[in-house]
Amino acid sequence: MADSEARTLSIEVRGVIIALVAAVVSLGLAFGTAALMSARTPRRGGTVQGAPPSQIVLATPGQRLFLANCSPCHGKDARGLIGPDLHGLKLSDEQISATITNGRKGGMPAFGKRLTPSEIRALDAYVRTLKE
Amino acid sequence: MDINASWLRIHGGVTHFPIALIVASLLFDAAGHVIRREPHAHELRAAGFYALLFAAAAAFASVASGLVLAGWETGGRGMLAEHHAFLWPGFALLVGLAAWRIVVGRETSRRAFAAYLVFTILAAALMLGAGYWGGEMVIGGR
Repeated sequence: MADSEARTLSIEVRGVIIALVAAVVSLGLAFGTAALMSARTPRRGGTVQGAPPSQIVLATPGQRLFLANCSPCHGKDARGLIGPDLHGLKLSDEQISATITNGRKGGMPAFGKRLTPSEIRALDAYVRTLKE
Repeated sequence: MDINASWLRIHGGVTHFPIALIVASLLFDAAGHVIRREPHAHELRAAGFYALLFAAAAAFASVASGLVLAGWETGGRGMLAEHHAFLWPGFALLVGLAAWRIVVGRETSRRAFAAYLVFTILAAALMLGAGYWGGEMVIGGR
């Protein structure tokens, strides 16, 4: 009886060690592949992710809001990711603000309850600076 | 349909499997733990075991499609960061739990299996959290 319990405990402990190894290997595989592919994949627009120091400029409030709220879908460079490329939009200020506030059916979430009107205006102003 | 829209649909479809299967696995295993009468207990735990294995396998497909969709971003900002904050510990825990079940098979004490169930609850909660923030990125705020 004692032998059986000791054997079970031994298998359980071995299982925990293998589980930890499997978890770490899985995460390593995911992060390693992502790092490798990220380094090898040129960004749309012809530049590689991460601007050179000479091109780094202080972010505007609109850009900071964009990075915090919009970049997960539109990309840090606003060249599109899940959502579309935002460069050279042919929309009025009212249309851009309305889209941010109300979202778009079947795609973009509404930000009207998450952002203040002044933040939405700042975002609109930032999007306006994105030329083709 | 552009390539990102395709990956969005693939990720959106595939990602339901690990979430649904880990919840199913938890329910089967919890029932198998409570109902001690054989052969029901064994059958319920077997169902929980296979559901967990398929959940772990589907999690790899889900992670792979998600990484492609996010441009190989593992962190990110805003809702993507929230999504990843739940996803990575949930993914690691799910794979670890599946590995543990494979190693121990049926040779577990009730106490160890109860501890396993607690970790499965945590993994299911993390996967549901990742799913919630993933959904928020696409259709949130409505």
